[in-house]
Amino acid sequence: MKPPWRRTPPSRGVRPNSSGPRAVSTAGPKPPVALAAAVFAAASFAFAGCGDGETGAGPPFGTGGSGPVGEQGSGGSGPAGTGGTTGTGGTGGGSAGEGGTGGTGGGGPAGEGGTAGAAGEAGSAGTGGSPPPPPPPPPPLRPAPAGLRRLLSRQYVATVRALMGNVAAQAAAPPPDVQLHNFDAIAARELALPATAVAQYEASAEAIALAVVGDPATYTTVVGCDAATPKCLATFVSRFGRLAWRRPLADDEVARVVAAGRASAQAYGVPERGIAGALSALLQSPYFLYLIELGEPDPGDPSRRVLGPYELASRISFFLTNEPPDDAMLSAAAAGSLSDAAGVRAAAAALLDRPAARAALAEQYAELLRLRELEGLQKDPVLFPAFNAELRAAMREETLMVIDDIVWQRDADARELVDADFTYVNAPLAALYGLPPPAGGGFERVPLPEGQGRAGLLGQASFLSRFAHPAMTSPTRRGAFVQSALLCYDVPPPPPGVVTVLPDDGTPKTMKEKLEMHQQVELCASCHRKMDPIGFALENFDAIGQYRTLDQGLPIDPTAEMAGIGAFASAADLAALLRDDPRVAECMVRNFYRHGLGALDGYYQSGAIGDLAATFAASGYRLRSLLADLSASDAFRFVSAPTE
Amino acid sequence: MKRTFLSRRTLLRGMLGSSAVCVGLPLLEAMVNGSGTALAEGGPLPVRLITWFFGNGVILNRWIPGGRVAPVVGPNYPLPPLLTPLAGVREYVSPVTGFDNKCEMTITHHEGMTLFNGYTFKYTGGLSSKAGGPTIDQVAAHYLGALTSKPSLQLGISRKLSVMDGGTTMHNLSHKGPNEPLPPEYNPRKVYQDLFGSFVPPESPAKPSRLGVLSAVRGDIDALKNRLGAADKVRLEAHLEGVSELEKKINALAPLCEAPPETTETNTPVNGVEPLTAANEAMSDLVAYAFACDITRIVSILHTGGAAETVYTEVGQTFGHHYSSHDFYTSVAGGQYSESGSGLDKVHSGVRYLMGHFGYLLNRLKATPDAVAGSGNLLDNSAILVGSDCAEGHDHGIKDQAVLVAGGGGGRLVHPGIHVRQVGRNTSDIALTVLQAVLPTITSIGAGAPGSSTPVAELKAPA
Repeated sequence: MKPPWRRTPPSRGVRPNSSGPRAVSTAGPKPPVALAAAVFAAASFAFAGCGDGETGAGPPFGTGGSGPVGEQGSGGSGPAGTGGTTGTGGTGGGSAGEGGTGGTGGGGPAGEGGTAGAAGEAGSAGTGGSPPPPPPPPPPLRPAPAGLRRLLSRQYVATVRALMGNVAAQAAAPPPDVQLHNFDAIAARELALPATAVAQYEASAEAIALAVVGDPATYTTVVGCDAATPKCLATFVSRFGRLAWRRPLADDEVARVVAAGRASAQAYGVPERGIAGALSALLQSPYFLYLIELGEPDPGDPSRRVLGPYELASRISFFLTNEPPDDAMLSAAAAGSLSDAAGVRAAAAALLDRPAARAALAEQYAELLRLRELEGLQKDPVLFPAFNAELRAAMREETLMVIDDIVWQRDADARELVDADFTYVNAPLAALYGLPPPAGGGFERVPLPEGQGRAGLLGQASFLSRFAHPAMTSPTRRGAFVQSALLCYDVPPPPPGVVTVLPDDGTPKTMKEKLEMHQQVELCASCHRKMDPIGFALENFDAIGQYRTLDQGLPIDPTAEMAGIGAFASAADLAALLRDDPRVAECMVRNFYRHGLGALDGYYQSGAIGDLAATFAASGYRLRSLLADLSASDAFRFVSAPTE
Repeated sequence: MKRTFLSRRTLLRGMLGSSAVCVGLPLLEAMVNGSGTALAEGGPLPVRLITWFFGNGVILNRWIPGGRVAPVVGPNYPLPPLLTPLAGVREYVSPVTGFDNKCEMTITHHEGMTLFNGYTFKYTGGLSSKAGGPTIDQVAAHYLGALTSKPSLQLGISRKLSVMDGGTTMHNLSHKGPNEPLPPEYNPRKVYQDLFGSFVPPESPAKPSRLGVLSAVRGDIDALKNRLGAADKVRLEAHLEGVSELEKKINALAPLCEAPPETTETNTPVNGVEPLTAANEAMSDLVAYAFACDITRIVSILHTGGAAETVYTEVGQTFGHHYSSHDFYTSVAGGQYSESGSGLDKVHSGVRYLMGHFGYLLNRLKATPDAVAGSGNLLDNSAILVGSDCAEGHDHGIKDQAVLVAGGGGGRLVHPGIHVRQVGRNTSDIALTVLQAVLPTITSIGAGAPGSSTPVAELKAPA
């Protein structure tokens, strides 16, 4: 797997990470220097801009070396080895698929947990090859590897609440999550715990334990025996341990925890402290903090391992509800309820009927759509005095309420997330959107304001604010996010040494005009044409999502066009096109796969993803149906060998 | 509040209960430490290590003493405009210019972090990466962390890290390895509690209770470890290290120095605006106390992240610094320097603001006698590496990356500071030099092109 911008050997005549004038490699097409010069002529200074980047060291456009990428959608494996896909390309193993949605993690067959690939847009970049051959049949599924996955912070808190109630949950303070590949769950699989996190888990466990023994009602529910009686401690450890560790404890495990409890009781001279000590030990154990998914050899297929009933029960329960399997589910699993796909699907459907599933989905969308980051977002207070904490919170609520409406209230087509013609507003949001304030004090479902071209997520202030600068919009950021979160395509990084200053001749320009260079200079355009046009169509929405018709006093031209999507001039236009783009529905599948398993999907998962996408479509894009199908899929029921 | 700092030997004799408390385990370990670096009777002085990062680069012509066309090297260099906030401590500051970061990949900003470890990052797609290997502070902590109750400390000032970059490289300044980032703590109050507020009194029942619990956790980890693949085994071993660190802390006696006043600053943004100066001062104070009390000797400070959106509201800015850093252009051609762009003034005032914050830390260390060493001040006995993620933001260049070396390094770094300019040399040579001030036995850092085994002789104190 070759990463981008890996220094090319000197024999190729390309200088490493040079910020000065570049040697132009003869290995690839020359950059459009003349065009660059024409654009830069307007600048008040001369500089080496986008057009001066080196060639022959471009992003790999698919990370699988010679492996197939672009397996998604219509991509298939594109014509290989056409000498790079753009003026910047040339090192990617020639695997960009025309019109593909991007190779995915894992890259080619040899890739391991790889990186987002990047097949080209149809016709975006001089592929010039013959039409792609029909896609080869997908490879057999390689499930995510066996191993440890740390409970996400929200899963930890939800677990404490489910097992011990609100008093205990208020004491829960796990370390914050980290993200890799845009997912908390992937970091939870890959990263080690820093010492500070181990200390936070200890402090949290001690606080929870004290809360439980200190609150009579909680103590009665959770412990239920007099700590001074001889068998109470061991009975508690055995019974509660099974819920906390999501499996029965072995005798030696019970003994170890009981010993910890005895040490605490002795130290304090208080029997309840024994319960607290044991509880603290249970909650700090790796058997509590990690989902342990090791599986057993699959008698029918030596290439994979089958998850045990407890492992599988935990996997789907946490995926769908953020909570551990309850007593009944553990018992049913032990009795074989999850031994086939139909059984798993039935269990998943039952979990989805719980309120916890609703909350879990909201939290997952808050992560995916970056709603969690609204709270700390800063805007220019002079330009945007309305952007206060109340408005930021309302933006988050709006997006989550629309999702709740689609998925839980109506079980409707999930693609409405993209093109919904309604939203939810409270008074501050109504003011932002130019709507009358709702009659009640809180939120109200309303039709979108007319004449603004809003629709779905792309017209919501949460997205429009988060993907903007503090004082101005960013068509590039908006476009990059649509690519990554809605189309599952990671735009490659800028080429080395490229000058990012936009020309400024002193005259006022709209944001779109400022970004012209991104479209005209090929080295920039090869990637920016996959981002900026999306944002151009959203330029009628300022950096906090208010409708506007002028930018710098100049009229906004929201017309834009993008290869593979079409022509559009508003959020609503774009939403209509995206809704029917199969990549959008497929990306929903992929995002839930990544979150649910803490792993990227790649070439070896493409068949499974494709099957799920087809079932999702057949269901009328019902998200609950997808979540149940995903839970019951082989991708969820099996694991591969652990990562060595 | 009057502060008294006691010498080590006084501490040993004075371990009788006063309000202040005592040093325990760390010192005992130190005295038997065989690395040759430990404090012992007549042994070498304890030298502290700080890495200090700020995002989005500088304006080189205003950063390099004398400017880009006619740089002035050596001692008594003229303080360039961006460094005048360091005037009061200039004898402790050495600008090191001309060096190139040799990271083998560039995806913008991430590569700059190679300055702190000498490894090329591990690319993970899009604008995301993991660190390629341990940062120098964690190399130091590996060898010297056992000498103090806290092996190392990670701090952050601005929480507004890059909103478009992912992975762990830029969001953390300390890494034990690619899968072991050490996240900074941004809340000074929490740092206070961690450093000074959580020592367990020797006779407290909490001590045997918590240790008993951790013993069970240890048993669980040991039992589980052998059932895992190699990658997960490494993760559980890190978990176990965390348990060990916790046990050590529970066993440690509170330091025998007067506890600092309780920190109230929480670094909480108000309507999105961060109290950066207050946070920086609170954190810098805590670093000085932590050094003076010998709670830790190794600190990393991620002041502002690479490509960070931090807004320097306190100097009248409304734009994110990242944006401003992309909004100017400079060049040198035919012996003539030119610069233009509306971001210049903002980057200028922003970097001066940052250097003011760094200057506060240096002044704080300088003003604190080193009671642990028994001579000099804390700045005399610190080795500090300062850097950013690029030279100038407009092209993300990592040639002539902005670097400062500060502190006397316990007599191992050149003093007073000099301007060293060596065009094209590896920035990792600078990092190695700083690391050697605290860990003289180390001979190399990093790997591949950015690896180094060649310290910068000019930065070392004359033998």
